[in-house]
Amino acid sequence: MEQKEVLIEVKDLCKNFGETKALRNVSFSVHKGEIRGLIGENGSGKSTVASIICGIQPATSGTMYYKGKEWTPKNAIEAQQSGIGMVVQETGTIANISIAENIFIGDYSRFKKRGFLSKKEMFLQARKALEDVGITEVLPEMPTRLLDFQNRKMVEIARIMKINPELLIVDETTTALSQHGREILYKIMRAVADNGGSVILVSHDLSEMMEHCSVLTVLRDGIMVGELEKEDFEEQTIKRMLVGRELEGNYYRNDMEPYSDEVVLRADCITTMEQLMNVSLELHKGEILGIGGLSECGMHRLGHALFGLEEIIDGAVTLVPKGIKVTDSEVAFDNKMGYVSKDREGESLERNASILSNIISAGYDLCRVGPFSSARKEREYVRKQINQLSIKCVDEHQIVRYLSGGNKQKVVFAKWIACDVEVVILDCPTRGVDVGVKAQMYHLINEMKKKGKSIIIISEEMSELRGMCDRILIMRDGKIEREFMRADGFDEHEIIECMI
Amino acid sequence: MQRIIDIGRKRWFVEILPVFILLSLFLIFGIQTNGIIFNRGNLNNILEQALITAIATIAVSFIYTTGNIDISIGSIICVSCVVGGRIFESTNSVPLMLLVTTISGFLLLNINGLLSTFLKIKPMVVAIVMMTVYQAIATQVMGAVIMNIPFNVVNTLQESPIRMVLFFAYLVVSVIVFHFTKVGRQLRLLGGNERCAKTVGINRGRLLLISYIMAGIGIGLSAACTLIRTGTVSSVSPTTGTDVMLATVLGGMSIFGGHRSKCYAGVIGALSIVVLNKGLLMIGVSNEIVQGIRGLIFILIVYLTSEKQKTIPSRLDY
Repeated sequence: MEQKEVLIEVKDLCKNFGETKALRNVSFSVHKGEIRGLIGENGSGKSTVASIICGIQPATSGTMYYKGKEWTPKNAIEAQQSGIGMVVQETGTIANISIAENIFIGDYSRFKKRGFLSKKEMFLQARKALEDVGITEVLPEMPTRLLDFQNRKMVEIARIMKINPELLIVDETTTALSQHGREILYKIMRAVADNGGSVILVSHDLSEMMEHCSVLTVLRDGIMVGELEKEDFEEQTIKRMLVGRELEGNYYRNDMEPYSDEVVLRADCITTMEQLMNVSLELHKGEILGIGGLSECGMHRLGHALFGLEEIIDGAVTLVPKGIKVTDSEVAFDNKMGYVSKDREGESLERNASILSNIISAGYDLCRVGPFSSARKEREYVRKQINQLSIKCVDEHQIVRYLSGGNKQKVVFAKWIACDVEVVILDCPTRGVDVGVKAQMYHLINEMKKKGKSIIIISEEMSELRGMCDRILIMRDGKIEREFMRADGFDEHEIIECMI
Repeated sequence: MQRIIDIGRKRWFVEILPVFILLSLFLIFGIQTNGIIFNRGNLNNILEQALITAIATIAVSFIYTTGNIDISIGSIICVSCVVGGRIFESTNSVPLMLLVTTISGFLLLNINGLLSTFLKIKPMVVAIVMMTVYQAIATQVMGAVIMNIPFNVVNTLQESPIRMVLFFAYLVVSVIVFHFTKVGRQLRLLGGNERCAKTVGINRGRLLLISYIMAGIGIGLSAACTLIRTGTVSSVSPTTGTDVMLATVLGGMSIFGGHRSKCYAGVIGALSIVVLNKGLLMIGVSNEIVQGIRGLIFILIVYLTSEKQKTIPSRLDY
């Protein structure tokens, strides 16, 4: 194979966060026209490498060369101007400005007309930019906060594609996207590579990486454990490299355990201001109910509505055994409901608080002595979860902001597992979480089912729904389209057909 | 540099920084004034003033924690003293004077809280408006007159341990509520991430009400102590409003609230700010310049201790 020109080279990169060594002597070089995969478990340092390259944070030591010159970006703007664009894992858009303004952020001067900003021109250009990345259903004039997570990501991608990046870094984005969104992103990645640029794809979704990358760099605990060419891709080998030991293939549940007939939560023809139209469902005791669909279909909004976070203009959500109407989240929480949001940083975590404060926030009442909170009980309560979910941290007082994406999700999960909820709504519970942790989470979900708890899983991952659920409701355009039963075997093609 | 940043992140560092600041201030002014600041009279003076500031700072920490700011404290204390003074004038009863002063402080702060809740305006905006309203009331009631409470009354009160008792009682209750109950944790969570707080069943309105009630008690007590300390009533607001902000940051708590909030921060912070005020005046800096220096220190500490804040609030915040 002819040796192509190197676009970026990373040499002996190290990064410490206090006492934690996130990266230890990582070296690799990315050639032009290559789609490089960075793969590793949570906290293995994938995102850290990506963020150092695009100037979000400096390295502790080590050098980088970009287009043959030494590369020491001061910030992300400098990186962008030099043609390095990155799609980040968390929300990278500003909620309260319009989509168009988000796309052209930092570049408004190009729409100046006689000293004034020509919004008309900007909206026109924004629409074009959106069409380029294949989104047609949103208006550029809309405030960004009205979009759901997936579309916000797409807006971000549109923004980055506006600068025509030579090096595109995609950090754990695909897990937030539906199949349609993923296809668009893959197409964009290929286009960048074909035009002589390079792509660095950060993910831990093995099948995705094997399909789309030409070279894989495997990281484990901040150390580079290997580099594989496309022809050497082999699932078991990579898995072994990832975790450093053999992994069993199947981590979903494989039983056909039934659930009781007792209804615990009922939604009666609920309609919300946006998206949801006349949705009814019943959740039974000991049932894992899956809700799937394309990301536009309103299933995330449904999760919100069931937990009382969304104004319901018609219909009602009722906790059947007690006959209580869920009018707001306070009622829901007081009656032992839990909710894991898809928007992790926005709704599920206080990022400046410690792991302890976060986990304890749903369980104050379980750690009390009389009217006072007990530091000892709180510590035990939290440590138990840290051990059970093996959250990688220095101690329970570590600030959540400094944890990796997957570990953050574990903290959210721990919060609700610990406080012993009866009904739990999980919106994309395994977003940005690696294989090992996924297996653990699925195991815990299954344990909850066995204890007679009721679980709703809202997910964009078909395999997750098919693997875990007793029943799947597929939504389309804010309505429930069809119901699938575990006993009938979930036929993948039928389900997908129903979604589109 | 990285090392310095790493140290800054350590938990113990945040805890000892305020003590360090206080000791340095004492040292600096001790040298500058040739030790005069350590006179019995001066120390007493510092302690008495710090007591008032400390109670008020503990009080506002309940409001700051939730991510809100109230700067009308000074004028609330002023109006409360005016009301208390008028009551004393007509009844000549000392207990009644102190009680009415405390209750006025409590009520006035809670008017701010209720206005903010019912009109759904940010407490900061309410506070700015109400500050001028309270000031107007004080001027209207008192005019340019300075009313003196009889010396023997003031002296008896000053010599009795009542202020110390009030201070410690309030401190203990506050620390318990803030650090050893569910309410305290919920207040911090609310200040840190309101949407997240919502998902764990926190009722924002009820918590804000609790925070204003706790703060109101403190502001009332602080007003009563002001009255005892000065023995005079006039329509001029004390600088307590900005003192409490400075005391808060000097005590190592962010005025933007959240996880790191602690209600005892104000005690050390109050001592620091009073030493600073007093020390600067003693070495001959004019009162106006003292204000300027305070401003600079304030902005510096906020910059050093807080995460980047939004610089201009968007219209959706109101």
